[in-house]
Amino acid sequence: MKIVDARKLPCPQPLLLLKKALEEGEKELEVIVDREDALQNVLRFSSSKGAFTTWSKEGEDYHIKIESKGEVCEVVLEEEMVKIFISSDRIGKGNDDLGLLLMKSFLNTLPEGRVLPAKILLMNTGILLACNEDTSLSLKKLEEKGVEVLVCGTCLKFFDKEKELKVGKVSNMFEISENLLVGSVLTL
Amino acid sequence: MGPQDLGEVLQKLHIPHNPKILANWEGWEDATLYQLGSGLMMVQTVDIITPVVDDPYDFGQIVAANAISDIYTMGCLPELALNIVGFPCSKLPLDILSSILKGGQDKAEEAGVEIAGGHTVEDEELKYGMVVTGFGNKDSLWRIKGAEDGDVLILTKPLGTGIIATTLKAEMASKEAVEKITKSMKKLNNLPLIIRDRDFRIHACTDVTGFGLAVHALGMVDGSKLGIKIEVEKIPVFEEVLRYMSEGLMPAGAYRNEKWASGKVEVKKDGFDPIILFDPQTSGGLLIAVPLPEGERLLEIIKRNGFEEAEIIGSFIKDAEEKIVFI
Repeated sequence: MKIVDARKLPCPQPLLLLKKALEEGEKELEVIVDREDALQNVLRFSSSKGAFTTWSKEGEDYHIKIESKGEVCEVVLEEEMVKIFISSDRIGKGNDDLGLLLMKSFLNTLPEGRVLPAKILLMNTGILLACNEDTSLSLKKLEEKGVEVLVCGTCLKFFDKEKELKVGKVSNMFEISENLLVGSVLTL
Repeated sequence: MGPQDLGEVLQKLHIPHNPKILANWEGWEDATLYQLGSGLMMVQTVDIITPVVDDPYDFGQIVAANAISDIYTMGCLPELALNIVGFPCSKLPLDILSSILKGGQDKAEEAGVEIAGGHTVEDEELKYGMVVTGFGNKDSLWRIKGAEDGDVLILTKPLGTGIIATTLKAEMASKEAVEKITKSMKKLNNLPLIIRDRDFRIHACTDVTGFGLAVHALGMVDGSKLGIKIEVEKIPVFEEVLRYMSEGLMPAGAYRNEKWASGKVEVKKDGFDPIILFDPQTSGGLLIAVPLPEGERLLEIIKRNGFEEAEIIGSFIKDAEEKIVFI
């Protein structure tokens, strides 16, 4: 583990040393600072980079351990994150009951995973997932983790489900088609 | 210095009584008020800073605008100034100092101020400041205290100069961000001139500088049994600031200010990082308390005079605890 001794350095020097070490490819670092403002700034910086951070006070110094892009925390840039297009309330064709079960389990598992999608786009019977009790709970969990859920407004009207929508933002064909054309999209 | 350290030092000093002095360093006032007789007031202030931007001419202008601001906050007009300079002769070419002083002089001239002299010392780190003297009328002074229940609070410049200047030191600031704060810091807070012939009842006025918005706002309610309710979304902030802030590019002063004000500042807005409220500003905007019916009209005039981002950010309310509440 590389140790960055940033004691006695005024802000923003500790951050610069940390940034430099990260740019040089260091994955595990310990930063030592001797002031609270430097500690706060290092914590802000590492959390903005999605790194796993712990710290402790030893005497007059603060020791901050940072694990960047390691096992503990996968950092994926927004542009690299995938969008999921769901146009049915079930996965696959064949047995409908199995399809429903698979979709429910897929949405239930998604929030627990290390890699999250950037957005979930719901169309046709897919919009029912944002209206049903159980699947909407899973979608809510995803929303809390920063995943944007876009729900087709025309579809809501068609199925007369406007009043039953429990999660997500009502969207239109313009926004959804733009999302389908930019970046990578996974279709379920 | 942070408010905590400063308070501790000043506490130990004896303040002699002089009936001619209406305001001294007690009570958060921005400048000293000295009665010259028949209602004429002399107002004096001193301010010195280390460089916040790289361009020496810009820095000089910022120093002047920053120092002169304290005269304007009292509702007075500045007339005279003296330079104070700390310069590392062995490290920097003298041309730089010439450009800095030229900037100071040009800005002072814009404000109608004559720089009549000054003093220099050799210093490890570059510093430039000014002693500014202005004059006003006893009946038309603006003080930091005097706001009334129901008054609205106007802030005339966006927040974030401290954060962007820190980001600049880290060589991580965008060119646009630096240009924006430079323009803002160079701008004179010349409200007394802007509303000279107009009939506004300015109940209280101060400027946002080193202690940050929240602490300067506290100065306005200290001892008044009033509090201020401020709407976070109304506060003008330089666009890039939130990103730099989340990356930890905060000046140390912000944490000192936050620590000092804890207990007197309440943040009720979810998902909002309050540290911006404590960002030390250089040549920050004015905080103006004005009766509600005059608020929009005054804001309009302020905006028209080049402070496009000025906003009514909150209002004064009855509060025995004299807190600043951010909603």
